[in-house]
Amino acid sequence: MSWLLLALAAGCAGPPGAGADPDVWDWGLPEHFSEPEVPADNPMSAEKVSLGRLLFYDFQISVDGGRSCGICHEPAKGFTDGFVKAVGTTGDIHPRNTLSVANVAWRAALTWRDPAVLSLEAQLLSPLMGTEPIVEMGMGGEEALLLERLSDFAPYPELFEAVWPEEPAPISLDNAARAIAAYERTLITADSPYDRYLLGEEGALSEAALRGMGLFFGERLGCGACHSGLFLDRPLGDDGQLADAPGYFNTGLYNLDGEGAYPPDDPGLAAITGDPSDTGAFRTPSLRNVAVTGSWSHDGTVASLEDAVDNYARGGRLLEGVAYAGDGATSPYKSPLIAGFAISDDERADVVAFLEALTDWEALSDPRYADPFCRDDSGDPTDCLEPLSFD
Amino acid sequence: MNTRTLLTLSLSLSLGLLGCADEKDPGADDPTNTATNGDTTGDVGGPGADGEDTAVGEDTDASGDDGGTDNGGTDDGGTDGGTDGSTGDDTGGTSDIDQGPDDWYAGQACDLFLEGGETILAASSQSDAGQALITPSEDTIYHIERSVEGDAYITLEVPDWHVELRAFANPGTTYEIYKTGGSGTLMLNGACPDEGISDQQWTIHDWGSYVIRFDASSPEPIYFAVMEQG
Repeated sequence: MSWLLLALAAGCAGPPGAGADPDVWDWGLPEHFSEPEVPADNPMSAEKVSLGRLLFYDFQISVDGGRSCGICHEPAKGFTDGFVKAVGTTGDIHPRNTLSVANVAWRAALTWRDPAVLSLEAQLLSPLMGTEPIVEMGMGGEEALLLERLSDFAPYPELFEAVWPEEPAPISLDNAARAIAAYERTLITADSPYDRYLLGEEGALSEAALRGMGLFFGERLGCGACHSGLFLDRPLGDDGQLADAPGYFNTGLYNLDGEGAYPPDDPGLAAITGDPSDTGAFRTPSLRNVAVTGSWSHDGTVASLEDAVDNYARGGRLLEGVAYAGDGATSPYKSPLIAGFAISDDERADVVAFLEALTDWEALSDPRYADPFCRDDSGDPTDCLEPLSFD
Repeated sequence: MNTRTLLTLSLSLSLGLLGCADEKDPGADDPTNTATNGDTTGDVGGPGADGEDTAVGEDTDASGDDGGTDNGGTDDGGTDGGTDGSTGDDTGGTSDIDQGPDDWYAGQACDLFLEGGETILAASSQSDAGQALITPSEDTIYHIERSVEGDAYITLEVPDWHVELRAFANPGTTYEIYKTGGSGTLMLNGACPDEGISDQQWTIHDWGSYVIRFDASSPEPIYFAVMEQG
């Protein structure tokens, strides 16, 4: 059997995938999801997505074989890695927590703090090739080695050629990035209890989650001021309508010097804009699957959802006896939306119940999103591939 | 706590009971060492005694089921149910000091102990443990500094799967590691002259962040090193 057939072998019925019309990608979305925009120069196709899935999980695309995209964006962990702060393949600790790539097809800005990073195809080259702020996968300056590895690994020549038959040398860094991006756009979680509630399913949310939802979007807690929209990652504008752009907020996590300073390795949006008033501002992340993406916050230093609620209730985090001690509640750069609120233990539990209801367990264990490589006990890939599931 | 596996380590060593590196296997040469510790159960005696008891940590409770600490030394049956700290009841005897492997890792740890550590300010609560990150390193020993009296918390980021880790600490240090899910073996290693070091080995199956709690009863200063074996 050819690698192409193996890669395209149908393992699971249903979307996402190519439908009856091979030129039209069937996203298989529920009715409350609209189709995402796809770059004109990187249309979706079954072959490309299958190739992208292999590349996403292939350890060969890190310099020492220690990392793949998929190991740092593991489905069971909400497409994150479970670390406080990500650790690169050479052991460097990243200043930030790993963002989920679930539903990334709809994400307007892709990183924690840089509003200009909008292209998935371009962004993924940063962990792959970049050296700042740390080496993640370590392929910077090793493009030739990467292409050699891809050329030498049996599935890839056939698969790249199938996707880009008109190109004389289809195995390229750009095409690899396009394939990975295409696959990442298929990582959709849209069937949480909250989704089923939105679609009118009675009893989809528990009583506690319903109460928590009321608190979450209610005026007292006001969580929805920053976490609104289908992905709970979009702020509301002054008119109460969903904003067109992502929001960047200082949520009062740090105040090192009493004047709003953040840890020196990451001052947030201010590092991009140069504006001190942007100190500590980070993009509001999606809360979908938030219960399984811990630890939380831009630097992973919030240990539980309960702690997160408590920090907001206090109007900022108080850190004592640690290197970056300070009272975030008094930071001059803190968003005025983080004003604090009163909340009882029962109410906090209800809010957490609502957050837990944002988990799409089916998607997180969907075999179509699983690592397609067979691996031995040590995690090293063996020379086989399980049939892939995109049809 | 209900979803994590708790691996509790509790070392309670007394400097006066520890041998020197040039006195390998004192249990073999001086069986009276066992008695100096008051150990009377058959759990101690070391390789010198029966040639099979390779590690005092055989009793280490890695299941986490009871969250208890079985210090690996003589078990008088009264210490499970918590991190019992340095009660001395479970103190490993002199015969145990060199039961850990006298290998490169132990030697490296010993050298690091002699050089002094890189200071890291530990958190005083589990919630803030993410403020103090370390990773396994063959070149670093950490001086775990406490800003307040009481338990101290740090986070160990383990960036590989299916790894064998070796942790070394100064005598008397009591610590526990959350959600390791691995089996650990507690050993007391005589690689360092005079003082010895505690030597713990365990398997990490799943990479990620692991909180380590140092019990308030631990001595000041705490020195701690973690290395990835293999």
